[in-house]
Amino acid sequence: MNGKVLIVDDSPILRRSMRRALEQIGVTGEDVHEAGHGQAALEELERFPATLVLLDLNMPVMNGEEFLTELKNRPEYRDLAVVIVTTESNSGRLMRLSNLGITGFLHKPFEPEDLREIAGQALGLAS
Amino acid sequence: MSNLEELYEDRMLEILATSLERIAFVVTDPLDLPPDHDPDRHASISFDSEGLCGDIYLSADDIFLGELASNLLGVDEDEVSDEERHQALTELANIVGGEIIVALGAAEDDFRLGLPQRVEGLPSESGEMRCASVESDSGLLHVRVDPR
Repeated sequence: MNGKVLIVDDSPILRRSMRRALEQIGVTGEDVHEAGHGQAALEELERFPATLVLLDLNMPVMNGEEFLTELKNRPEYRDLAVVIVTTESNSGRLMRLSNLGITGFLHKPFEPEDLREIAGQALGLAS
Repeated sequence: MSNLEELYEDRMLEILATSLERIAFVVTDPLDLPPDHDPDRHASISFDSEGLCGDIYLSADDIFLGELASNLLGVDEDEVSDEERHQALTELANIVGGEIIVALGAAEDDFRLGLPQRVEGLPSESGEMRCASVESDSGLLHVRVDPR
């Protein structure tokens, strides 16, 4: 298993809940790192070669859209899969994010099974 | 539809029930909040749009938040810390807030949600606020939407 996941969410309890769901598809402790906002996520990516980012949008310091815009300006992250995990529902804003090039959306509230499925697909794991 | 008058209690109850069941398998039933009940913890999240802005407050009993955090984390309730109870309520405010602004028209109108935060108590009640309460096997959760 070579999937490495960076969870970017300002909610510590949700990060742990997502980490738990990922463990159930074989993505275990050392292959999952966390960041509480976009700026911390950019710094984490310099140390941790993630293959998938699970990205919240509504965060302090640097929000998910700012993070995604910055990420897409850096050629070294061109192939990095990004799944947006959000309460956002505005069709115009979601379209704008979609145009930035993302792998998928997961709407909060979600069931653990939903996360396992979309993360498994993004990482190329058999379901 | 950025109009608080269109936010009915039934819709708020549906949002609470669906959110809790999806994220943590917590099953709830509607409840009339007893007038003398004072929940242990509170969290809020603000919202604004061109036509409407306000705050959404969530209040819950410790025992309810123990069940919620326990299910989110996959640990026994007696292993849930005080901090984790707060975190569970704050994240629930974020999720419920997101669903409530959809009910107010956020899919089409430009709504913005603030960051959820814990608060020590609730402000005075206003005539325009909207409320709903649910109970699980373990305790009570109350939501209140206050326009500004």
